[in-house]
Amino acid sequence: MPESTTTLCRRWGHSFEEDHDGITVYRPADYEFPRARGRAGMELRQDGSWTDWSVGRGDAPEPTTGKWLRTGDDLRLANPGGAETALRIVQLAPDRLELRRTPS
Amino acid sequence: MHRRLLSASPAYRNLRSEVENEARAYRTADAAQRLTGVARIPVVVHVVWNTPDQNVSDAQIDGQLDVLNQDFRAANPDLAGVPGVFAPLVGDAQVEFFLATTDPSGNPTTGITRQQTTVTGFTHDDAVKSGASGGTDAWPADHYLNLWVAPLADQLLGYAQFPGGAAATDGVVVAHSAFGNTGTALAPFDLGRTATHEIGHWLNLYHIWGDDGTGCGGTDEVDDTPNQGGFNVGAPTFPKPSCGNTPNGDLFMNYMDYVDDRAMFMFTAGQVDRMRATLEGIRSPIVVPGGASRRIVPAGPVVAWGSHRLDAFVVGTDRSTYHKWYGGSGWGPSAMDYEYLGGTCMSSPEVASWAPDRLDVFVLGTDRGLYHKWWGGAGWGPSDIGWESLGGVCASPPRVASWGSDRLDAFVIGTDRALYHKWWDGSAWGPSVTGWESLGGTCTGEPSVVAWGENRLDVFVTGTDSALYHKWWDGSAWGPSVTGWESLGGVCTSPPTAVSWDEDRLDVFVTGTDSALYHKWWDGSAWGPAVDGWELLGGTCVGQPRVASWNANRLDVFVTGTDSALYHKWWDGAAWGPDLLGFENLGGVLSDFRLGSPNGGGRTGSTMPLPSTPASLTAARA
Repeated sequence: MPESTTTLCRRWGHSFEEDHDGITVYRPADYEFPRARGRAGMELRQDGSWTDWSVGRGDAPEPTTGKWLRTGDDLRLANPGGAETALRIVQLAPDRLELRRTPS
Repeated sequence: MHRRLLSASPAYRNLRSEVENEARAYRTADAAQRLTGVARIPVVVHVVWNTPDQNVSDAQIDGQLDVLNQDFRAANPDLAGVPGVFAPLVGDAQVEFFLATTDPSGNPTTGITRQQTTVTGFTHDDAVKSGASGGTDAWPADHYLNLWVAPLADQLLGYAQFPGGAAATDGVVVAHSAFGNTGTALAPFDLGRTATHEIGHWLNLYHIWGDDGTGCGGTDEVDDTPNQGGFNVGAPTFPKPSCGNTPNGDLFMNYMDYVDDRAMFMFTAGQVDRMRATLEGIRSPIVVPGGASRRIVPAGPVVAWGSHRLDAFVVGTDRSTYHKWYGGSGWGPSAMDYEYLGGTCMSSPEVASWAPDRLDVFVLGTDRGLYHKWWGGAGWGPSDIGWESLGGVCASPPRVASWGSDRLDAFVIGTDRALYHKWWDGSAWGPSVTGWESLGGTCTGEPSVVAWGENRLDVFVTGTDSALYHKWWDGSAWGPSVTGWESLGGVCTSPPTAVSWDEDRLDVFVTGTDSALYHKWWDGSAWGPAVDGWELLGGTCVGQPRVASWNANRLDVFVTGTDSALYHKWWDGAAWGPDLLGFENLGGVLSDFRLGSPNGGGRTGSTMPLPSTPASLTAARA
């Protein structure tokens, strides 16, 4: 497994304050985010499973688990129903992940 | 949590669809079938703390309750910040919250539990709701709103359980750092709005953006909220469009968005419908019966129609009425100035408030007739310095009560020493604009009147034998009869002062011939200590005692001593402080709290319009 994939496999929090130009910015979940009422996130695991942590209806984070697949800088996230989201990795560093949605 | 339960628990799914059906039925139902009036909710606050600084104070909890009671009554001062285009959407949920006074075993309680824990930060896994996992067990969810305050991990501010879930976890959780508006609350979540938001969920409100991420297809199941993309944060500038909702854009100042505390300040009428449907349906057992009306604000020279709100009225040396107010952050019109309201007054103003930002002021004019002016939220009626003449020739200052919206009851003693009454029923003065209803008696001082519930009045006077006399309006008739009175004994040397801290509860205070303070009470079934008996509370008092009650089973009594200093004693629900016969000396040299009775006419240069043919009480009775 490439080094960059090891970097990718962790729990990330959506650093929405840093989103820009259609790019979604993530930081490691233990990053000192500003306080917010809700912060979505996701977790990618080495076994190919992926958990989406969305802002729940009652404010508690809601997990949905599916699968992820990486090809080069292309990342595909599939929810349990099979629907896929295609993304491009714009930047990957231990403290920052930038993703851009690509036309599917 | 919500989604997990929906997929895992058929029972939860069924209850949730029932709740949604109720909400839909409510929206289309005949308005006349709806729950009317204020729904009062008993709250238990479970403080779960790891380090002592997280053990939030009682004052911080009180501050949080005050915020809820403003936000769920559309009585929050920052409501004025709603953009004009959205103002017609504002809804008053008519929900009020109070700390529970009885615990699940039936014992008296403060409505607060405190528990130290080894858990440094709870997550959204509900561990805080169980003693077995370091938290505190819920009280029965059909009778209490459980509100846990605890340190939360991962910067979670709070979370809520929707109606229909398990009783053991029902309620809301708020981080100590986002709770209340003092103490441990940290900006920008330091105005108590996290609890407002979570209780919105607890009453079945969804997020205003529809919980679909940033899409435009989600819905909050509320018709009058604009479609919105994702959640808003911080303090956005109006307008903030998304999902084609131009020109007005997102309703980001709504409590169910994700903005900072200072940027959220309204529910909509549609959201109110959903909350009311919940209170009428699945959460109906928690609504305290009899909470049919808004908390009745006692009338007097100073009234408080909301938290952190005071309106004080005085007579100046020119005998005109002057007004100043405290609005939460400072005094208006300024710390040292007063608003001039005109008139030439022979009594102190008596002021009632039957709604937030509504004031009705009553004084006697130089003709000893009753005069009235009112504040309707935008200006003074009949004019800034004008007064409405209500007739009569009064031998006592007016005493006023309001038991409901747009309702006023005024009482005076007439020249024949009988008690006289007139009322505003929302459309007209009864028995007529200048007429009065005689209620009999031969009274020696000013009356004291209190309204403890809708369509209920209790009036107290002293008779020629110096005993206390009582009569009451029960919604259909005067008791014991229109002109009859119930004798309650005693030999009183001051007019009575009556207060009520609960439905069917009365506390009356007088000064006795030995100048001591005396007390008697009605507990819903009998007079204490006896029908004609009195509780001796000591002291050497001059004049009428003044009494306030800021909570159930709480009384604060103020008297003037023979040294003209102010003295105070209090009932805390269990005992009198500082002790049964003692008083706390508060110093000062007082002349009077307020003018006691008209001190003669004969003044000239009246600026108050005199009625051309002053209607005397005797004439009105004929």
